Amino acid sequence: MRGRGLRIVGLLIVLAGVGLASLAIGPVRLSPAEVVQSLAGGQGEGGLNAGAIVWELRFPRVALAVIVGLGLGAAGAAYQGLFRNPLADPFVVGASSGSALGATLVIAAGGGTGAIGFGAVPLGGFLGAVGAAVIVYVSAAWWGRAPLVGLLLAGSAVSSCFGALVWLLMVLHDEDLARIVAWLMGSLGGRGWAAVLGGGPYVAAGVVGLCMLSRPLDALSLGEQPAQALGLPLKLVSGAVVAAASLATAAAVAVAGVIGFVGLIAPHIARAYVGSRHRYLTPASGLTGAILLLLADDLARTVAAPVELPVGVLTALLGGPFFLVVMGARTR
Amino acid sequence: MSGRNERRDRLVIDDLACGYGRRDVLSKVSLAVEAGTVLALLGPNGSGKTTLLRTLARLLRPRAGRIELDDEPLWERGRRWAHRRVAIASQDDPGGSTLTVEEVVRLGRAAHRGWWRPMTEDDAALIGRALGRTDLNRLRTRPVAELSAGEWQRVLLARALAQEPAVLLLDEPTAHLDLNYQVEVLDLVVELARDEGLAVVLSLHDINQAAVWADRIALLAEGGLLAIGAPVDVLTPEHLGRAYGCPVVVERHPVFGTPMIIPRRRQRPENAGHDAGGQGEDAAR
Repeated sequence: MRGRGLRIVGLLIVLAGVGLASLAIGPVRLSPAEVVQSLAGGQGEGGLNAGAIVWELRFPRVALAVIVGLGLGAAGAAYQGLFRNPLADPFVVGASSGSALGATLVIAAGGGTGAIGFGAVPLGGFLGAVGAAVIVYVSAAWWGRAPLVGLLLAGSAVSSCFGALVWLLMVLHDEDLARIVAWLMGSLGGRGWAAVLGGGPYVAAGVVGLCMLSRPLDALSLGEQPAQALGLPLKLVSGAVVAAASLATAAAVAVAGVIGFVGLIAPHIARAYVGSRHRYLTPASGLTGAILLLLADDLARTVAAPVELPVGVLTALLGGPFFLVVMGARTR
Repeated sequence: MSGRNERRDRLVIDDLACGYGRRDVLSKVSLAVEAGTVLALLGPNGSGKTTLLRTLARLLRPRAGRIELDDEPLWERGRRWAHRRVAIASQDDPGGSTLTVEEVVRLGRAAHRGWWRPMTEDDAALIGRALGRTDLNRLRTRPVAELSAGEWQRVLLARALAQEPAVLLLDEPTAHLDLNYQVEVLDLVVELARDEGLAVVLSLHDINQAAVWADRIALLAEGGLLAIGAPVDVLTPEHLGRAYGCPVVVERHPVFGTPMIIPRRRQRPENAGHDAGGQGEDAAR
């Protein structure tokens, strides 16, 4: 028991270390001392303005990676628990296609750029993700029997339909193609503090909500019927899980676009580390997601410098092989 | 040996109808279970054993009739009230659960502790006791996915015990178990009923198991309760022939004197000449 609490603290320390390292990495390499000095508020004696680089460019980006990774990792753990399915990720109930449709609609309508702050495009993405989750939940509830299977099926139907609409919009508005594709690939670049402050509270609220649902999620791992026999109000709990996970996912997607794989693999890594009780698994998955996304973003910023790769492409590209290695190591 | 007497009836079912969708699987079922006794449900596949258990566990709403637990209506008193008093162990396998034995047993306390409040010392003590009674201390930290069928059945029992129920429902607790585990589980169930004053209702496939371990037997068939009472009164060739639609011989258990059921081959049709077994004597009985 105590040991697993300590492991969460261990993850926090790793996250802090990776975060500090990420502040130092970039076109202008800073020493650890310079980073700490800048954070402490001193302008530093370095010729170039280290304080500005840290505070205006890198710190918001690092904070954003932490927020997005946290939300995706925790939501992934919750959905894997709710659906008893190791393949579930934050996007199973349609958050990615919903946000893509929302954002694409705004872009096609000539809405404000998402690059600066929590503008119209992120708002469209947020509303699209929440809207998709609502449609999925209402259809599953209307369908009635086997509520959890209903959620999965409705999620898949809505994803497919919304995905097709995004393609349609791309064909009809080929002048906006570049911006739409840029959104779909997901990136943490050039967002600034506005995105952190805009998305952070929603991610935090969602993750806290998921942590409060840890005992119901444990019970659900035994199956719907056994959980109900323990007194679990299934519809209420599945609604609450979908609501909290959708909030975290929608906010993450709104500020960063669709970033795949982090929400799928983070819970698997965390499970190997802290076990399956959601009390530990949910926060550990969030922290693991944050660490993974930070590392991926460091790579995206530096590997082809001065060109920045979209981190969403990188997570999907590296996530696949990484996942295979992790799973192979666990089963051996 | 009929249902009501001066002893305490824990669970009383009155004119119950239950089923799925628009279809009644069972109707006009009335019976009572005393504290400290075991009632076995028998009947062919589809006779409604599981349906009745799920209705008693408040997982399936009755279509008519009443269920009373210690003189209180089960459905009217609400979900929480019911799940603190009724525990069910169904045939479900551990499925994809990656929890450990102790973590599964802990969940039995959720009915009392709720879904958010932390567990207390009392909960820990009850969890420890449930693990001890079912001899699971050694397996505490084992993931349930790695257990044998017999061990998993004990985990289900331990979880039900941690729930501190007044009524314990078991859906085919001996299914898929080897003989030694069947005996072990049934012995444990009877012991728990006696020691904790539980009213136990369990469904069984094996009629002979019911005859040996159950205090009373309810025979379900033809959409209702065909017979209920002591094994010796219920397990007659007439009842069983009608319920299962096949001929049986009823003997006496050599040790316990309880009824013992031996299946018979159906009478051979006149023209089935190539049959290998000699059935002449059997048909003559």
